[in-house]
Order: sequence, then C-alpha cells, then structure tokens
Amino acid sequence: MHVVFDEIVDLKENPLESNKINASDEEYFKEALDDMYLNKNSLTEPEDLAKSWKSPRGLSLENVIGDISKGVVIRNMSNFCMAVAFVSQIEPKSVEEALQDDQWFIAMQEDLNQFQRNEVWELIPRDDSHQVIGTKWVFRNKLDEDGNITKNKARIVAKGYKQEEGIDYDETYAPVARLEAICLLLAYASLMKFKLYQMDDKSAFLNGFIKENVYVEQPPGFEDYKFPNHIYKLKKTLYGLKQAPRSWYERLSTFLLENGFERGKIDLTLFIKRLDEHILLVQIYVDDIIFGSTDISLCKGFASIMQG
Amino acid sequence: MSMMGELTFFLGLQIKQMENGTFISQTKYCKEVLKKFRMGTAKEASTPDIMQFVCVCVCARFQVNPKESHLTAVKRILKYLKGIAYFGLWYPSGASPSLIGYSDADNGGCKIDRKSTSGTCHLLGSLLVSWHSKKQACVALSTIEAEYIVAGNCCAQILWMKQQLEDYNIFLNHIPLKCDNTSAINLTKNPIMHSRTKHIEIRHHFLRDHINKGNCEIEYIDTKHQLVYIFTKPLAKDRFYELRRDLAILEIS
Repeated sequence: MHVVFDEIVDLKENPLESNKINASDEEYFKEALDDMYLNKNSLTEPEDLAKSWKSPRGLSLENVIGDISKGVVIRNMSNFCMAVAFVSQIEPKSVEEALQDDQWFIAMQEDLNQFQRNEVWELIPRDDSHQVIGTKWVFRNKLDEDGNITKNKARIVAKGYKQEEGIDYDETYAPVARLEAICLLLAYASLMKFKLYQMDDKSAFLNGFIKENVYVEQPPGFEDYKFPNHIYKLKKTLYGLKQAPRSWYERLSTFLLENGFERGKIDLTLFIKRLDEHILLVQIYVDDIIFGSTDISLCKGFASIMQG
Repeated sequence: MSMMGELTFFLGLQIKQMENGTFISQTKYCKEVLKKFRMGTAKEASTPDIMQFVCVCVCARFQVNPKESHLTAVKRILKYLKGIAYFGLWYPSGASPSLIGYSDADNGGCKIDRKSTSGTCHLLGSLLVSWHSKKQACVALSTIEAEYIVAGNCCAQILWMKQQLEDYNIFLNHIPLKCDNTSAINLTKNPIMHSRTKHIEIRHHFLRDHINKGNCEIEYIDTKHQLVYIFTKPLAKDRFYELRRDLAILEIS
C-alpha cells in the first residue's frame, strides 16, 4: 500500500515551528499590553482623559470602583489568543459564509492539500456523456471533552445519492468490528498486561482506489480559474461515495496481508501477526486502528510500517 | 497515517490503561445525553425505576405510543444515569483467561404478549466482556423452555467467543455455561419428549449438539451466585448493588 503518510513530516517539523510562533506571539502581546499600560498610566490625571471619559453628571472620579488606569478588561488576553484568534467559533451554513472567514478558509485549503498529496483526482474537460456527481463542503467544529471548540474541520464530500448502481458503484459492503470484539480485545490486553495503542488517518477514505469511472464537479468556491467548466475524474474515493468504505477496507487489508498479517478466522476486521511466542493484534474499525502486542518492539515496528 | 499514542478514546468509550488494569467508562457520552435532554441539573437517583438493566429496553417498546407514565420512567432512568456517570467496567490485569457464560430467563416477563426475557453474560477471567438482555422471539410454554432457549443463545455467543479467542492463541474447551434450572439442564442430557417439551423447536436443540461435542458444558448454579439476574429480574436495592459490584461495574476512585 502506498498511503502517503506526510503527516509524520508535519509532526516532526510543526512542534518547533508552532513553538516559535507561540513564543513570538506571546512577546508581541506582552509588548502590546505594556504599551497599553504605559499609555493608560500617562492618562491618570483627570485633565488628560478624553472628553467622553469625563462624567456628564459631574460625578468625581474617586467614586469609580477599581483601577481606572487598567481600562476596560473584557477577558484574559492569553486565553483570548488561544480560544478565539486561531479557531473560528461558528459553523458556517454555506460556502460563501465560510469563504469570508479566515480560519475556515485555512481549513478548506488544508482539506484540498490532502487531495494534492493523495493524488485523488485529475482535471478533464467536460463531456456530455459523463454522469457528473456534485460536491459539497461540510463544516464541523471539533469539540474537546468540556465542549470547547478545538478545531475547524472542513471536508469536501461527493453527493453519493446521485450515484447509480452498476455505473458509478458496484459492491459497497465493508465489514465492521463488533463492539463485543473490541471489549474482548480490551479484556485480553488487560489479562496479558499489554497496552493498546491507537492510530488514525485524517482522511482515510481518500486512500481507497476506485475501479469505476466517476466524475465530480469542482469544489464550490475553489474552481480552477483557467478551466472553470472542467470536471474532475476520480482516481481515489471521496467521502460520501457509496463504495468509499469498501475500497478503503480493501486497500488496508491487502496492505496488512502483504506485510505478513493473517485475517481473523471469523472476525474480518482483526489482523494477527505471530512471531514465536509473541502476538501482534490489529483491530480496525473503519478508519480507526487499534493495535497492541505482547512484545513492545512489534508495536513499534507496526507503527513505523504504517507511517511509511 | 498518524500515531495517536495510547488508546484513550474509542467509539465513545473512554479507556484508561493503568498498571493494574483497564477502566472503561462512558462519562462523556453520558453527560452529552443528560445535556441533550436538559437533565444536567436533575437530582440523582440511586437506582433505575425497576431495578434491572432492561428498563431502557422496556421503555423502548412504547416508542410508538408513549404516555406520560413512560416519560416519568425515562426521566428516572436519566436521573440514574446522572448518578452513575462516573461508573465503568473495571478490567483487572493478570487473571487467568477462562470463559464462563451465565444464562437466565424470566418466564412470561412481558405482560402484553407473554414472551419471556432472556439475559446472558460472559466473563473472561472475571472480566465482563459481553452481555445481552432481550425479549425472546417466541412464547415459551414453561420455564424450562424459556431457560432452554436462553441457554441456546448463550451457547451461540460462547461459540463465537471461543473462535475469537483462538485467534488470540487461547484454546478453550468444555466452557462452563451456568444455568439455574435443573430441568433445562436435564433436557440437554436426555431428549425427554413429554407433553411439556415435545414441541420445542429443532433450532433450540442446537445447544444439545454442542454440549455433546464438548464445546461447552452446562452446569447448575444456585440463585445466590447467579450474576445474570440483574439483566432479567427486578431486584431489591442491596442485591442490585451487590450484583453490579460482582460484575465489576465500579466507580473510578
């Protein structure tokens, strides 16, 4: 399998970069705050205050509760940067709305970058004989446990309901793990005293190969400026296509089988690798992968082959 | 593909892997449910209305035509959920991997169509890995029949788990299946065909076949040690708590 695991590169480089950004931002805000304090301090004399600051009813400034030099504090500045400045708090209803918002624009761009990396599609001229499936943006905010918004996620999806059986898709069934099987794996792991690990792919379905010829419209808001009337021919599956889960499962399972795993006897989503006494178990649940081994080095080996 | 580290959150299950075991809870999901129905500030209830785990299932049967009484019952369940939001399954490490199945039925539990409720649970070592509590698909004429049907279901689940465990290099045979009805146990040994049992359908005799093959072994258990009552019968508060504790459903400390 040739899953493009570019995210690792991101992982290696990003922490440093983002640290730098954070550090410089903090400095920047500190300076800004210092400036504010200095300016305010120079305004302590009532005569220096702007006209609007003077009370129209002749109340003396001594009656003001709190330190007037601090100005109006709405919220903690550092929290403000974390929560509001880098994440949008709204979920846009339409593309037009999303395009207005910088954060959402970045999120959409990020999704399209994944397409570039995975070589999902190619631009071809429109032909009347092609059945073209529409595309649509889906906007979701990711929440953490306390219900705070941590991430804006934009994803382009195909309108799978327009697909016709026999033309755009054939088989769609993909096996899914039973919850009991997962409980059993957890129980087995704690009995044998080994730890389980988790892996995920931001856009798993974009890795599945497509056998049929499927054509989709250009994503709304991101049309090619040279050929706005062209359409995309898919090489990989898109979210929303009926065959997407199946082709992803096929790709993942063939990859695992090539790497010396065997499929579980009845559970088709369990993959096992045995080495002497040790055993490596990989359970897949659509795009989530959990794995664990009695020997920690097998886990590390697996993580590295999955990451390319 | 990116590595996310240790398994902590999967399909709504919050998983804590510790040195001496694993703790699985659904606190987050529980809170979301309470928030959705604006029950976040409600008082906590110590037990669900009828003290058994089937209450959700019973309420769900009235979804077509719900009445006010059902609303109160559901609210009671939500209040109970609030009380046990931090409860979860505790999987201690290091127990021996042996499988036990428990089965029980209440005869004619449903007051409307007189079908029985079957309950089973399966413990690997002492860890609760699978359970079910469900109204049976057919009307049973006697307790034996009801128990016999559940034991059959329980056996099917045992067979699945047996095969699954073979993938994990655990090979088990003669898996004990605990049943508290001696007549049902005897029926698995000899196909006595008298007026009360002769009509039992062939598919339920599937259990006999697997006992003969030695895949599982049916054993008697007295009512004191029967864990599965929590899934089938309304219980007194103390007994309810006791069984809940025996199934290793605990609050994280």
